Amino acid sequence: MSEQTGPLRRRVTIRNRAGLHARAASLVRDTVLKHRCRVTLIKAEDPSASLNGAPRADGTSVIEMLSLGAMEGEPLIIEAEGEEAQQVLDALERLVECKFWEDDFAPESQQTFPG
Amino acid sequence: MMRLQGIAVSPGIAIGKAVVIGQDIFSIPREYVEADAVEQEVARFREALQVAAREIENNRDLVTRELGPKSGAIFQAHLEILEDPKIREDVESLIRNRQYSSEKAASFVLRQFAEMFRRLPNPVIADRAYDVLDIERHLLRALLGQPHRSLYHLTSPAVVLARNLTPSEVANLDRKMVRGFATEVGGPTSHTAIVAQGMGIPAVVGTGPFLNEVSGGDIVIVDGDRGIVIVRPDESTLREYEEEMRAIRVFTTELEKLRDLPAETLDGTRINIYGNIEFPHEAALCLQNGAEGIGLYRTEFLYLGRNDLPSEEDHYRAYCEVVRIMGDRPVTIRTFDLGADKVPLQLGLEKEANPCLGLRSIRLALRYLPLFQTQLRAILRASVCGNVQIMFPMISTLAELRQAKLMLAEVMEDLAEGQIPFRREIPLGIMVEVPSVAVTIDRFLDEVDFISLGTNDLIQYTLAVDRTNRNVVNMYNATDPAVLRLIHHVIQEASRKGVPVSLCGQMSSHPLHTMLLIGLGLRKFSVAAHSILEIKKVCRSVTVEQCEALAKRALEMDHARDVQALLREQLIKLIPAFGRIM
Repeated sequence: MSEQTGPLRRRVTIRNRAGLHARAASLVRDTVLKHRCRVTLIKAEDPSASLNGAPRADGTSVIEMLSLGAMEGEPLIIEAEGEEAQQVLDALERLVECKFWEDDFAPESQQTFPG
Repeated sequence: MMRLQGIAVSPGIAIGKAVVIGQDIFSIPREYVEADAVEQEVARFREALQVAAREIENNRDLVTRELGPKSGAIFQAHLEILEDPKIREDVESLIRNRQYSSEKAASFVLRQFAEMFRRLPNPVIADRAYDVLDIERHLLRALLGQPHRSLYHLTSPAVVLARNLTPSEVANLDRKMVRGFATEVGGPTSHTAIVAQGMGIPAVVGTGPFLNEVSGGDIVIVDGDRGIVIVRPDESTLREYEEEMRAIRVFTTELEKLRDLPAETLDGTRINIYGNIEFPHEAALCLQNGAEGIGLYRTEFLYLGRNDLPSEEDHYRAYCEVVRIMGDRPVTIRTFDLGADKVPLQLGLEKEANPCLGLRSIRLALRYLPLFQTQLRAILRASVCGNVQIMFPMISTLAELRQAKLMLAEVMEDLAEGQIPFRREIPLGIMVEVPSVAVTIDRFLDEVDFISLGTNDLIQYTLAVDRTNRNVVNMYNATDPAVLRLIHHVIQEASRKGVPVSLCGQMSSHPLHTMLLIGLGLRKFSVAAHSILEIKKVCRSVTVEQCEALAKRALEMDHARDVQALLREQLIKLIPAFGRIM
């Protein structure tokens, strides 16, 4: 078991077109629930600054995450505290980086026909 | 006459008498509770949560069954929001600390979230405000013990007008009575739109306020193609729309008569039309429209939207479902076509700078063999239930094809050892979607039982255009001379060697290309379920000779847009009704 330290923070940038919408937020929640730690999403630029007053959302609450209204290109700071903080940050960063498995994978039936 | 411009969200035209429905007005009988009754009130709220959850679950299952998983997923999301820990926490704290009644507390919390969403600049999330209000209504109904509103029991056909309709209200509309609907609010990405499309009800949303100007019984036109709502149309407008509806109806009836007729050209050449599917339930629609089989069963859905990997049983069940629906007709299962950025996180793959040219599709399968083996085992097991074929995506070299075949042989040996039945002669084919394969197709033809042209990727790789990149998407053209020449070459070579060739890319689903493809020698089309009848209509209206002359002219042209103009002109001349959709 790792030593309990203060919260870890990581800055990510939302990359999918629709932003942090319902399905994406529910994937975040699923990931958080698989780890032993508390996760907070904070809408701010700089992880080293004081984040008092910045909008924040509990990583297990889809509705709070939606309320952040995070859009494509916007930064988010993920804060994790607890035993598996490092692991959850890695997993969440990947999830954000791979655009919640969207965009490039719109099924053909949903794409506009360019031809 | 009043004419409003809104957002077209579900196609088609509806004309009928207006039924105007107001906002649900829930009168909250009691706003506060006594201090010593708060715990009882919290218990009452928790009970209502469960009742509402059951109601939403029922909705989800009903909608999934009738409209498919895409619409069903909306209600799964509602369920998740209803059960959100934050909502429960906030409501219970209002009951305990301010002695609010459950109704007042729930309404307050959900409306606050809805209002917050509405003000967000991200339209996709702002539209979620309507979902939150939908959930509020479920909760209030559960708390007040009120049934659904009477809207669902219309006795004569009508056009429904409302300030807003939530997804579950739309899902519960009577399809026989509701010809169309229009709402004052709502955006293009609203879930209401998806449900309306699934139900095939013409719909326009976001017209802005107009309900005050309408009385029940007024004649209303909802034009779900152009996003227009016309209240009390004048004589000539009404006639125009009625004429258009008649033309559409005639054409649709004409198409429907083709269901059981073969796709045979006027000079007696038989064309085969197969269906493309993404989810198992789509197979029934293909069959209904007269598909002779499934030419492309995509299997990526099994992997997406989950954090773990699908089991062999997950695969097997999904394949058997389709095979069962299709009887002894061929079902071509394509092994997974995933990119490295799309596979579950457990594999821990690294991020790629160039995913389209990276470790994707068959390359990924050959790198992560257990993933591939699981799928192959399931396909082989399903092969004894019907007429299953197996197809590898994105093959780019002969070595790759041989390696994949070797893998298949190994899995067969495993199954044989375990005495698990499978069909050893299962037909094996490849997607032709990388130019390297198209150019050297003669080498591949000796080693496969069939091939299928995947034009979506073939176009992308031939023209070096990422079709999801809006800066270059206008260069992505199915009718580009280079693409046509490759397709022509592949079809000619396959025909020469007697290997069946089909085309399953989006290109084949658009009637614009049908004549051209027949002219290039294609005899087997694999198309989206909703396109089958249109493609058949074209096949039955042409002669091969006519198509060959057209293809010859197209192959001599310099620009994609010239080819397209030629195709459009020829098609509309032949079947004027297609003019509406192009």
